[in-house]
Amino acid sequence: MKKLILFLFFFPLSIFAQDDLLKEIDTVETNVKVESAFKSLKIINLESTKLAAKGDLYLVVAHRFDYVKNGFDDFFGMDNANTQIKFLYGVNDWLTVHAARSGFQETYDLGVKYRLKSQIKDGFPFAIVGFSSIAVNSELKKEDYPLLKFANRLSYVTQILISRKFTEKLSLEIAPSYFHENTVRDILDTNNQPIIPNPQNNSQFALGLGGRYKFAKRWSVNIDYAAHLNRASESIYKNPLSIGVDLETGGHVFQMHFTNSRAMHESGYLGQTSGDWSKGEIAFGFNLVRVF
Amino acid sequence: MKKKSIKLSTVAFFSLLLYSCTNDSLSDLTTVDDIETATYTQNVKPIIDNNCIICHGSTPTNGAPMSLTTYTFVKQAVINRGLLDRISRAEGTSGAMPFGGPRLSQTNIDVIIQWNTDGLQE
Repeated sequence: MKKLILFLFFFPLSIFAQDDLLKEIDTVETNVKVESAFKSLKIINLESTKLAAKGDLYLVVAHRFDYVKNGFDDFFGMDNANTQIKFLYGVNDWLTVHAARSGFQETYDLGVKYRLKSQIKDGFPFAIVGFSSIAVNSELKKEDYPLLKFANRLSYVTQILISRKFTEKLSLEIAPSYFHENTVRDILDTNNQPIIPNPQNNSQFALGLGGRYKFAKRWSVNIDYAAHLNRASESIYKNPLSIGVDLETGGHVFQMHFTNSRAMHESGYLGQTSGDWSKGEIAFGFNLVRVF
Repeated sequence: MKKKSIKLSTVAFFSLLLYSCTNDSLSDLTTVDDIETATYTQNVKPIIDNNCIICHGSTPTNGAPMSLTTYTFVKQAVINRGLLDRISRAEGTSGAMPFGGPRLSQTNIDVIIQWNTDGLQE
């Protein structure tokens, strides 16, 4: 009798336990992060929401050739390359730092990229990543510009990168950007004399837009664009537009594209893109991304 | 919590950097020197030597068509090859000189323009 009571006492519990286990198998796992909206750390010129994993070191070698419009004279711009060499390190899964040097205005730049929010499957719809960088123009010479101070070489960029992976194939990104060039280029009038005072504000705003569409397992087509929001009307600079493809091979991402920007660092392509697509002032370029 | 404090300090670090902001344009960084009469040896040659003869040397390189090492060559270039126009164009536009490099400072360009107005003296 005692044994029976004891049995009855425990019986329902064991039933519940069975139920719970079954439930656990059936429920959909929540809080799944949606990863790899973009294959590379950049869409083309615009930073993507991808970060380096903790402890990963990346080497990025990027080239922008000269405009294709001169044809065989300089072999579609191949004779004049602009190179950027960049090292990236994943300090944490949410923090990536980089240091780079590029030939455009002999620029050094340092930057940080930090994840604020991940896109969650059936949850938070966007990935939000912050990006800040500081660039040093080492090309300006004291002999030419006697009043040059170190601060005059600097420019700063802050961007909020918001991306959404809509499907396995399609990801889009929007990037409100603020940048400040301590020294803006002179804008010339019709007699090629600088307009004084310079109509271009040093503090500038831009809206970056980008996306990728995977058309095969290892291939995707990428586009990015940045609309400058307070450019002086006399300015010769244009909005950068880039179109290209990504090829992913194990350990490498190879990005090939056409762009009207010769600069590769943020304040350079946002503020000083001089090429005009309609005049054939576009250049072939590539980013080679290698992880160690 | 730790994560948050690192994030905050990163933001603080970058906002500190922003304090060293300046609002200049390139022409604000130059001084104007008053030259009575510009001559090649006194005023023009140093500018050409610093900026042009890397390519326009006695043996021109990188596709440069002519040399700019002597008074005669530079004078010829101003008269026949539109040197003033080429160095005046905006940086990054087609045909702008120095090729691929930064535009000369406006002061230097104005010196060469003055040399032309003063009669291209040696």
